[in-house]
Amino acid sequence: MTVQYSWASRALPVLVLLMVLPTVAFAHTEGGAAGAGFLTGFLHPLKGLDHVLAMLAVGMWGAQLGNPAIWVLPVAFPQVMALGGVAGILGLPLVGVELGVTVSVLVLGSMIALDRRPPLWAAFLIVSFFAVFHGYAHGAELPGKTGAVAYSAGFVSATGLIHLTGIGIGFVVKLPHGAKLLRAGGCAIAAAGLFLAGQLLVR
Amino acid sequence: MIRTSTAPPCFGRSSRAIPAAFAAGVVIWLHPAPALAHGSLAVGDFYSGMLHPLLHFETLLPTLALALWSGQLGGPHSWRLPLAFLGAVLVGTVAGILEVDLYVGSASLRLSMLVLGLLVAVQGKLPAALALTMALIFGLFEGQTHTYDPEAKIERPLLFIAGVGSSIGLILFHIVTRVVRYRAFWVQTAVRVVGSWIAATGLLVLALKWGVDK
Repeated sequence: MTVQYSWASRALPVLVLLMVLPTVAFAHTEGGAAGAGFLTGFLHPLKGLDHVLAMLAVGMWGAQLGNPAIWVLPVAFPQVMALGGVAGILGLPLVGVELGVTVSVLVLGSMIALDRRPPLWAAFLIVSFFAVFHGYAHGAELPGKTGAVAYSAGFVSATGLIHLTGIGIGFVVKLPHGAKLLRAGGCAIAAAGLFLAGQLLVR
Repeated sequence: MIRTSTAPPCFGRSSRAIPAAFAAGVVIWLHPAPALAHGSLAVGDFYSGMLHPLLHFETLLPTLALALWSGQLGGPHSWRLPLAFLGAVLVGTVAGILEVDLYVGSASLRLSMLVLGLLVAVQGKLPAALALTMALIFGLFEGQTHTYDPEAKIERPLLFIAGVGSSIGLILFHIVTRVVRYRAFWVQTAVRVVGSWIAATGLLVLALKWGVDK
């Protein structure tokens, strides 16, 4: 007798590992050792609410769009963001970076809330447009000194993991009423984006 | 014979995946310890050679990308490329210890991250000769870099070289065999995602190298 086990039961140990990982990271930030560069880079994307929400939204939208967006976006997205990062490092002029980041939260949240399903290229174009702003904002803050590789590796992998978390959340569409639940989540993200954008404009 | 095991689903068909995940967990958990130990503690030349490729992202990431790519390609590539790379790393390390300067800057290692990472992300296929040449050149870069650490006082070079070789060999062997074996769609996607992360890291640090001075 063969039994097909779901991907979920196989992914569980990995998930547990990922949940344990941050505690190691937090415990280690005070030491100035070789691993510190990676951990500071890893923690950096987790500190900004706008960045976290936008990355979650990208993952959730990918899950809502389904195949092939669900796997194309996590592969292609880091490249676009890195290109934005290069622009930030080189100091190329880009206007309204902060506003672009917050508006991305609003727009991506709205896409999920309204259950918009554009063709893959259009979805990728929208995500890429905002990814450049995110990459730019972070690229301008990258330390160019020692440990740059460790820092960047931490930064890229943390961003990717938030993205994957968004996809994981997006899997609620498999549940009964899950599609509605996901749209409600998109609503919450859009509302947060509106708040952040308003805060930016008032300030 | 009918299996009468009442173990939970996790321990059924994917029984090999569990030890692998557990081992990965132990490595992640232990990682801060060797990192701290690396500063002042003298651990001997074999172990310092062994730790060197593991503790420096500059060398770990290209190795990882090459292993993932070889595994993706499969067939004869899955052993030719890793062996060529390993051999070139050893030659580069020997050259570095003999103080033969191949003029390898950090930019070339970062370039290898970008190129190999992109190949993994797009599951790129190249002509066999070109792939082999790339593995050799990137291996030479990496081998030479292992001897650049100014803090490392290598007293017994052979032990250091053996350490570097065994560590790189183990990384390549473990990653390649797993990528070759597990052909499930989500595993192959995960491999591409990791390749994409390595390429993105390479792109960022290349820009840092050539960007404005900070």
